[in-house]
This record gives sequence, C-alpha cells and structure tokens, in this order.
Amino acid sequence: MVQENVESRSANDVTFDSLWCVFEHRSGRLVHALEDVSFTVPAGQFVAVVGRSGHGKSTMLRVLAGLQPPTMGTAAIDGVPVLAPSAERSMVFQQDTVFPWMDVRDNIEFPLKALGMPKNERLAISDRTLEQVGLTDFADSWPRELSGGMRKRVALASVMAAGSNVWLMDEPFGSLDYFTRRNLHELLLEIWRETHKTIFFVTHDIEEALILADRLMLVRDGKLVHDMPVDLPRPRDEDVRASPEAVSITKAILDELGIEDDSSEIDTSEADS
Amino acid sequence: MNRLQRIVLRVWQAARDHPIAVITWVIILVGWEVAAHIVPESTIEQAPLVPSWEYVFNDSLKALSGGWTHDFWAPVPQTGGESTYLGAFLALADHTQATVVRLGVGLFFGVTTGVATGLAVSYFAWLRMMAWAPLNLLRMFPLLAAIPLFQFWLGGTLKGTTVFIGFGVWVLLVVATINSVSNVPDRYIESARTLGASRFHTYRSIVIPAAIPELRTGLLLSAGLSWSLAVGAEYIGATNGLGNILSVAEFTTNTGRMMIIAVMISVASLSSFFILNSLFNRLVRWMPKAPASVRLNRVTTTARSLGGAPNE
Repeated sequence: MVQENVESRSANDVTFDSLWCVFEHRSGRLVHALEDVSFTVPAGQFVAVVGRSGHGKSTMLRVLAGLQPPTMGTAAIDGVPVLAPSAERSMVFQQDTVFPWMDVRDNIEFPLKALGMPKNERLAISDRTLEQVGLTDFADSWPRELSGGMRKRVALASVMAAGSNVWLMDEPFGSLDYFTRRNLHELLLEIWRETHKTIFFVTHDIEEALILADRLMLVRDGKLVHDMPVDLPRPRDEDVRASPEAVSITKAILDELGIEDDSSEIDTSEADS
Repeated sequence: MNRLQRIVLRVWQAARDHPIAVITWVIILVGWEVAAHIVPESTIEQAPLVPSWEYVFNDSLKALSGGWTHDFWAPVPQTGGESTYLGAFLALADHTQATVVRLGVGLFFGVTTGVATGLAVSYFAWLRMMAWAPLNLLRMFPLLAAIPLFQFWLGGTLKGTTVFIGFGVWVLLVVATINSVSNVPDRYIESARTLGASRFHTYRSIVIPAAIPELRTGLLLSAGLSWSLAVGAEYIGATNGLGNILSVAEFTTNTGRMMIIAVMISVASLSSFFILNSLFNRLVRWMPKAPASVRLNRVTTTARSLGGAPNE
C-alpha cells in the first residue's frame, strides 16, 4: 500500500508556484482572486480547500482545470504547466452539469467518445462505472427523471470514466440535502480508496472537510493562509469528529477564517444585493 | 353511436368546458352581422363594406368556383359550367396548395441554411466579425418592400417566391441561432472541456444540442413570417396561390372573398404553427417538462408572434 503511494507520488504531483490571479472588476478596481499561492500536493492526496464564498477557492480549481489562466506564476501537474482543459484534470461543478439531452449511459460515455474509443470498449467502461456509482438500473434514464443526488452520481461517473488522475470538485454536494450528501461522501471515499486519485474538494462546510480530507487548505482573501494535515483516523464517524483533535482543527479553521468579523461581511453582502 | 353523433357530442363537451370561448365566438359572429347591417352602404355596387354572413357564404364563396379550371370533380364555370360549393372548395384548395408548396420549399431552405449559417458564424470568430454589420442591417431590412426587387431579379415564378421566402426566413434564423448559441450555459461547455472534449467536439455534441430548445421561438416566428412573405409575394406577382386570388378580390372589391381568404390564411398559418411545434417537441423530448404556467405563457407568446411578423 505504502509502496504504491510512493510510486504514484512521483508521477502526478500537483504544484502551484507563486501563482497570482488578478481580475478587473466592472468598477475598474483590481480584484486579487489568488495572491501568491504556492503548494505541492502529492498524488493520491485528498485535499479540502476551505474558505468563505468569494475568497478564491473556485478560482484555484479553475486554474488547475485550465479554465482560468493565471496572471502570474504556474500551476503544474508532474512539472508540466497547465495551459488548457484536459481529461487529466476533470471537474465536478456545484451546478448541475449533466447533459440533459443524453441519457445516463451517454453522459458517462461522453469523455470516452471524445477520445474516439470504439463502442464495445466504451460499453465495458460505462457498465463498470454505472455499477460503481450504483446506477446500473438507470443507464437508459433521462437526467430529468433522476433526483439531484443521482445526477451528482452521474457527474461523478463521467469524471471516473474520463480516467482523470486529478479530480477537481467545486462544492459538488452543496445543493443536496444532508442525508443525500452523507451517502455521496461514503461513495466518494469508497471510490477514492479504490482508485487513489488526487482530489481537490472545495467546500465551505467544515464538517464535510473533516469527513473527507487528508489535508486542509484554508483560503482567505485569495491567500493560502493555512495548510494543515487532518490526522484523524478513518472512518470519520461522529465519534471521531467529536474528538478533541477534531474540535481543535475546527477551532483553528474558525480562528483562521475570521468568524469574529462576520457581521461586517453580512453588511457588505446586503449592500451588494 | 355513429361518427356524427360522436363529433357532435365532442363539440358540445368542448363548448361546455370552455363557456368563455363560446361566448367570445358568439360575440364576434353576431357583432359582425350587426355591423354588416348598420354600416352605410358602399358606393361600389356588389361590394358591401362589411359583408354579411349570408353574402359571404352565398355570393362570395360560391363565386370562388370560378377559379376551378380542371374538367373533373366539379363543373368549370369558365366554360359555362355551374358555380358550385364543391368547385369553390376545390379552387380554394388548389390555390392553398400552390402557396403551401412555395412556403414549404422556402421555409425548408431558409431554416436549414439559416441554422447552418448561424452555427458557422457562432463558431468562427473571424466570420462573426465579418458578418456582424451586414446581419444587423439585414435584420432591419423591410422585406415586403423588397418583393419587387426579388421579382425583378428572379421573376414571379416558383423560384422567385421561394427564394424570397427563404431569404426572409434565413435572416431570422441566422440571428435566432446566434442568440441561442450564445445563451448556452457556460457550465456545460466547461464541463465538456474538462472531460477532455476538443473545442470542435464540444461544439458539435454540447453547444448545438443545448442551443436547440432556444431555437423554438425563432422557428415558430419563421412559420408566421413565411406566411406573410408568401402571401405578399403572390399578391404582387404570381398567377395562382392565396395571395394571387386576394389581389384579384381586391381588384373586384369583393370584400366577402377577401374575408374568406383571410380566414383561410389564418387557418393554414395556425396549422403550420402546430405542425412545426409538434415536430419540434419530438426533437427536444429530453427536455424537462415545463410547469403548466410556463407552457401556457409560451403558447400565448408564440400565438401573439404569429399575428404580426416583425418585418411587416
């Protein structure tokens, strides 16, 4: 197990090297979405990126996906700079991105078709993936016939079928109810244990981060303010999350993300809307 | 229960379920008849300003049989035959058929080339820059005023009218397609790209299907527009078709016949609207079912757009 990890580590390290991402706001003001962010994530690690809305978490993922070019610095996988989107780094979005004009199987086979894979090979992969996400009986269903949680499974299955080594998940379960979310956490962890992909999981839910991640990155005002391991035993059930270690991590997060000036945050958001 | 009884029962049930619709129709029909009797008499003989129903169905409708020139199915009045209702309906059907052929051909080529052009313009940035100014000019182009120009170029033949209809529909569909493509949600495109699809593959299998539902309005508008264009083109230069007999009716100030033709055009236009809409529904059967309120709204919007084409 350890051996395997070391091997894959050398293959697919994800690095950010003094990366900046600056946007011009409509008002002409410059917004620093990311400010001098550097890190190295070894292959197979499950990273939770935690922070408040609008503080640069999503930008970090979009840069990694190749959807957002950085203003300065580089993002690289195994030393190769990220320049454009690729199946090597697939993304699960917060919004529903399952293509509504394709049935479930066609959605899952989409990345394989994009590769030009022959039909029988596609079928083998989609069959296996459907089983892994528990949607075998829904292969011929239209997305509109599925619940929100099931559609997330389809999105996850598409990323699995694409064969990406780095999964970028941008608050993927944010819109789901608590129980559906917990089921999907279980599913995601199970798949991760089997495949050992590198996962970047953006969330503002501290509990979700503690259930899932090996490592926490706290982002505030575009800066990586804290980067810490989550040394909690798995599975991270209620007892583990109530342990003194877990509570101290939660405290650290709350301190770092500045709960105390929350009122000013609410004021500005109300003024905006 | 025989067939006739079933139809009568159906109509009765529909009337019972929609009393307001029945009342509206009664008001329109009775109001028209009242108007026919109270408006001053026309200075032109045999041409009442508002023709009564009796005049419409007796004189005007029957006289339409004068347009029936084939010596089968009904007598030919031109060679001394009797004017019959059958002949009138056959003549009306014959002219309708001529218009429908022109419209069908023009609409088909206008829609296919319009969508193709719109897709190409959306894909290639250089084409977009090139086409922007001419397209915006064409959108504002007074189509009906251009009929004489088209006739001068192509003649009042089938070719002339179909090219004219096709051109009008083409402009509408190019603009509608460009708009639909630009309204495709970014998230579908970005998701496809991170799943490894190339730009072209994304365009073909994501952008185009995602844009189709938005094309509905443009397509239904083009059905209404094509009727205006077909009748307009025939009115000015064609030897048959509904527009042609309308111009003849105007020449003889036959108000009753004008009414019959107007009703016929409305019915045909409405049918083409429903045919296109149901074809379209089959194309987008994957779409989530809209709630009833949205559907109702959509029908009224499109029905309104049928009434007046934007280029008139």
